[in-house]
Amino acid sequence: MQKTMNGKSGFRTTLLASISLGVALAAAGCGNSSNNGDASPSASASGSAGATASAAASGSASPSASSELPPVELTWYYPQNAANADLQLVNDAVNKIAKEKINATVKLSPIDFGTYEQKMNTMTASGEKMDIVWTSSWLFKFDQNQLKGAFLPLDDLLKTSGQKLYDSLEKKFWDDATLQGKIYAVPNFQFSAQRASVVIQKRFIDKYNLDVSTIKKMEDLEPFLKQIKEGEPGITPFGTQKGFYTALLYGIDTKVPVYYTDETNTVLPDVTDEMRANYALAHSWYTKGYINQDAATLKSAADVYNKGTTAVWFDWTGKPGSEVEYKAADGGNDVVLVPLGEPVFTGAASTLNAISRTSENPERAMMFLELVNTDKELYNTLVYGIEGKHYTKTTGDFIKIDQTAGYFTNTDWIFGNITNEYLPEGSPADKIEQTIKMNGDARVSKYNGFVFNGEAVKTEIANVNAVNGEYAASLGTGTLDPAKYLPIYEEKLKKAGAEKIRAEKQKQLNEWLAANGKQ
Amino acid sequence: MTAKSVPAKAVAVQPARAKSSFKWSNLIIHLIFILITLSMVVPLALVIVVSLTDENSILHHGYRMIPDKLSFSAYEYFFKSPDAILRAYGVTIFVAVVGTILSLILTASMGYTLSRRDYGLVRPTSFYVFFTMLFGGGLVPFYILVTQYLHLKDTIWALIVPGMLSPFYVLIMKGFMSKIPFEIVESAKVEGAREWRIFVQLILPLSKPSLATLGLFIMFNYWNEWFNALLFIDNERLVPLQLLLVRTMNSLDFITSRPEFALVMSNFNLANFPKTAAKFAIAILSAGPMLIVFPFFQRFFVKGLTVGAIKG
Repeated sequence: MQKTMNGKSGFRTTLLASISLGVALAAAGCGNSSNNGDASPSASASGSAGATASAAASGSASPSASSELPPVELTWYYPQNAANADLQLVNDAVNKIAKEKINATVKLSPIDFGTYEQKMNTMTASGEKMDIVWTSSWLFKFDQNQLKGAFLPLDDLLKTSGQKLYDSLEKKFWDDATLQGKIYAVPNFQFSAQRASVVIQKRFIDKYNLDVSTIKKMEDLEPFLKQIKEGEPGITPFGTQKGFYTALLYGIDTKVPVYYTDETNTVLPDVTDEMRANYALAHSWYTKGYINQDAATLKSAADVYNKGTTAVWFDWTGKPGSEVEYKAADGGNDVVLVPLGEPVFTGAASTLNAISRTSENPERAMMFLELVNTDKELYNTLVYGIEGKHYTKTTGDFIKIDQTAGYFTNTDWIFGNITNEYLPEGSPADKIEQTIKMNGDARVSKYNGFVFNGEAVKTEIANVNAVNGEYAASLGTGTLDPAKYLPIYEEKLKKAGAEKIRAEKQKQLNEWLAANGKQ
Repeated sequence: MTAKSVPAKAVAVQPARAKSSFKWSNLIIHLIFILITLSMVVPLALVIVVSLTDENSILHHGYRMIPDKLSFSAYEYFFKSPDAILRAYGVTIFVAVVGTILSLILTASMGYTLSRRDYGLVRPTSFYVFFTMLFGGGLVPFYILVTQYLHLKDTIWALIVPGMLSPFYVLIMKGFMSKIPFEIVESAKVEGAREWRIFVQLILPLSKPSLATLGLFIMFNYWNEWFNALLFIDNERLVPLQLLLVRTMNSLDFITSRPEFALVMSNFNLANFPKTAAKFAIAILSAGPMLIVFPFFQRFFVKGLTVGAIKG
């Protein structure tokens, strides 16, 4: 009896003790991490100071005297679609070039897209030594990780070891890599514009003699959709995944929701009049049977057209030359791309290479980045592998890629400036010129460089996202009747704090405008 | 698996005993077990069938038990360059076998120590084990420990060492071993046996059922493990099977579900990626070997249960 009593109380104390110990440990853990947070920037700041000093020293020597630089090994983490069997061979080829020019070698560490964020977060948090780290606005997020102190500011390094690199890009690109007044990453030059478009299967255009030049806005499609509905059983007239409301269609700035014409810089609420009209149109199409029934629940954008049974679908990017890609993905049907608006500069933050705080040789990392972005041979080795093994030159800058030879990246935009690349067979000969031209012509938001910091309204943003998750797709695809559900949606947005976010955005925008002398 | 074998036995026994007295209750019990069995077998069968279905037929008609068109293209995708997948199998088998053996040795010795009531520090040691069951250090400290103190990054030991000792299994082992009469240990001591001899020659053979049971669990854990590999392995030659498959799945989901991705992918071609059927082929490829291993352990599994029942 007594023994069991003892046993019980013993267990109880054990449990209590373990819980209290656990709590204590957790608290200690928090304390530690915050300490780390305080300590690491100062430590790395002194490191970077030392680095810039040495960079200045090495910068004063002439760049041709590369043999005088001490040999270093750099590491470069970037995402890839799949592992390549011949990575080591390519790595050796890259090292050969880099060794010769800047006496450095680099260890290429590709990580697949699906796990890149998780792995990089862990590595950054644990202070692992890295030199170059790929980052972007959508994966391993640039601004968030900069706030955590993951990257080195590059302004001084660009002056001492990367002047050529700095000169190779326009200021509007560097603006996107600038946070709190400092450059933190090197943008990769690529197609950085966006143009709302619709994609129409060519066979139906021919059959119904559609004049695509008459299509200037979504509403213009309606008669054609009607013809398809009546004349083509088994064909979905209009395919969409999450609807087709985008600021691009309605003269609203994509960076901050403000009308192009608005001189007062007033941030618009989440539900605009244009959105009401758009949802009403979507609903009328949906009830007439033009839109695919599963539009609101489709998970993948490709599901809209990959059966080849959809006549028209919406394309957010409108990239020149994407007809070829759509043809490959929609069962081999020819398509025509019909742009509905002017191209808008979407910014360069979608692919960047930064230098990690933990880098021991930041000035050499910068020299390497400069080399990648300016040396055609090095860049093409990274993108396409070894000539004669992974690709062969055909005529001029055209190459034929052997996708099964053991090195196939399909991601030229990860590594650097794509204007240095060879063109794979089948791409338009003026792809580079077109890209440069579109980037140049694209409307640059007057708010380029403004980054909204959501820290103060974190809860509201989460709430609004939850409400959007519930309603946006169903309303956007016309599945729900906007007359009935739009007021509910607006009401819920209001409760979730959408107005507070708008006010905060307006406040930050005004401050930014004042600070940049734009008001 | 166990559920499947139960109705089979029952059916075999039943005619002899209850031929004349047909019992509704038996019928109902059989029906229930048949339903349970089907609920396990049918999904598995569907996975196999879908993995063998032509991609277009899945796109147009969805998943079906009887496919319109058979195709081995999903498996061809994985085996057209068999190096990677075969090496991954090799890594996984090595890790599972070596890991299970090491882990069993550790678990058994720890469990045995804790089961000895003449060990003075039973309480603090048990508490130490129990505590780690409830609280862990978290991901980042774990990562720092393995990479910066143990220096296991990019070695096969990074896949083996972290999973080597599970407090839960130690406690199960302790529970089992403390059912072995302490008199055995005492009499062996009287005969002049030392501690090691007692452990290796008496305790371990008596614990076979529990070793087999835990061994199976541990092997499953090692077989299914991919997260450690994700964190610690950069070298393609050391990638285990599950990580290879998780990657294939993730990349596919990731690419198809993100509009931002389409935005930046300048010459992206979905044709290079495995599709729906491949996902199901992945499931078969990763689970298949374990389905074969399981029956060998089942013998011990049942014994483990009964031995525990008699002694307990």
